[in-house]
Amino acid sequence: MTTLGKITEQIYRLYNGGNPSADQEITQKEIELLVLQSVNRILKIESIQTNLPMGDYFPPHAAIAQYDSVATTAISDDYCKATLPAQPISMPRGMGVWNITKREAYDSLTLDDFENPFVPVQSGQMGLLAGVGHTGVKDVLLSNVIPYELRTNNEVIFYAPRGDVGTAVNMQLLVADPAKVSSTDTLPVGGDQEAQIIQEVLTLLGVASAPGDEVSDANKSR
Amino acid sequence: MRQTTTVDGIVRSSLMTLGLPIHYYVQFLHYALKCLNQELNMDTLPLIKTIEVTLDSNNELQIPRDFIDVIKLGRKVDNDHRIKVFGVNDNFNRNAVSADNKTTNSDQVLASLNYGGYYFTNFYNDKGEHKGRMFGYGNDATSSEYKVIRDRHVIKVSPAQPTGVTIYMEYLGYHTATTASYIHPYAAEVIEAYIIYKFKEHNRSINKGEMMESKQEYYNQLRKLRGRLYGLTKTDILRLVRGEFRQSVKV
Repeated sequence: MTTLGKITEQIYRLYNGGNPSADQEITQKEIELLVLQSVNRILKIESIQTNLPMGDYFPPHAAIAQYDSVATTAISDDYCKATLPAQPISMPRGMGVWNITKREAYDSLTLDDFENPFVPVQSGQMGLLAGVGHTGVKDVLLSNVIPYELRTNNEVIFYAPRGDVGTAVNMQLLVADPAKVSSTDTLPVGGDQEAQIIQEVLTLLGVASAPGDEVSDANKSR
Repeated sequence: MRQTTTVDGIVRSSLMTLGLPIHYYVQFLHYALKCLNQELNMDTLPLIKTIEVTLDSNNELQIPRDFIDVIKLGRKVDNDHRIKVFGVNDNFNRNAVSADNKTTNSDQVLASLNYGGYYFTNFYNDKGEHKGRMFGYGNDATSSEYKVIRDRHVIKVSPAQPTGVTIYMEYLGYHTATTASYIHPYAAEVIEAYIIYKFKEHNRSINKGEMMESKQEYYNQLRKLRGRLYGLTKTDILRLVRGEFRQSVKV
């Protein structure tokens, strides 16, 4: 178990072959970003290549990022929409958007209505459902649940009036979001995957590791 | 907590059975409704609806939007508290033709009986046996007939029926269930088995053998459902045997 700051520091030192010099071109912030990109790739690989073939469709809990109170906007009297607060990893059936729930007030708290999540419809699927008249699947669907569809790469449309959905919703996305992970946060990966992240980032930086500086002065070895 | 069986509950139960998240809900709902409407509704668990319609000037009635097929169609016999069942006559003209030369009150062929309500009379008991006692009662073929004309979405009734007569129809209709509608508890397992079978049938990562197993499981559940619905008891048999034994005038 490691933190973003710790693994970044490790990579930074490996990249520089020791303590970094003051005129370093790559900053720690850039490496943090690379680490999180690598984490997202590993999360996806873990879900798709490891979990799915085993019949486990549920993502590692550490991959779930919570976004509270995402504002909704009315499109018409019947529909409303929300903008994704981050771009989730690409998963089958839009599972990158793991869960969207209504915000319910319990006493003084506002929590997820987690027993009644909105139901995802795949992009374009509502158009198909609307035409299936002999089972009336669209009407049946709309009769009891509020469906949502990933309309574009960053927009979610709800097939219900804003009054029913709420002025804001809570979202759970599968992503290691750079905007939400600070350097002291634990990374959502197992201990066995840390070395893989280090190796991947160093490969991205174009080095397995930089050669050590044999002369102890301010100049870098070339 | 009250136990309820709903479409929504069956769909969620199927997701739990297969360990799938809610992202598969819509696909499973589609399968559940197909099972309910296309498989079970057609014969095992028919949803029978009743309407009363006044014939138009062509002696036709519009087929309801949720109509699948006629079960019984007939006309209330005046002052008799019975509904006379009509038969099919496929020789009727398919075109809309105004009815003419009709007389009213031409169907009063049954004696008046003081029953409190109207019911279909076709002289068969609930086990499909003819009960007899139709002395002198002809089939009244010229007026008690109808034909379903699907291309015009109408049912044509014999032109011999008086204009404006009220027709009673029991028909097999589509389910207009919501996801919260109650489903017969016996049907829960068969709908779930159907969902799983169809999911596996359309999933490329499932091998053929596994798919065939789930198909067999669906038919097993269907067999159990039909067995549970049509249980014949000793009481039923005794009622059958003794039902028509009573003192009566022999002719």
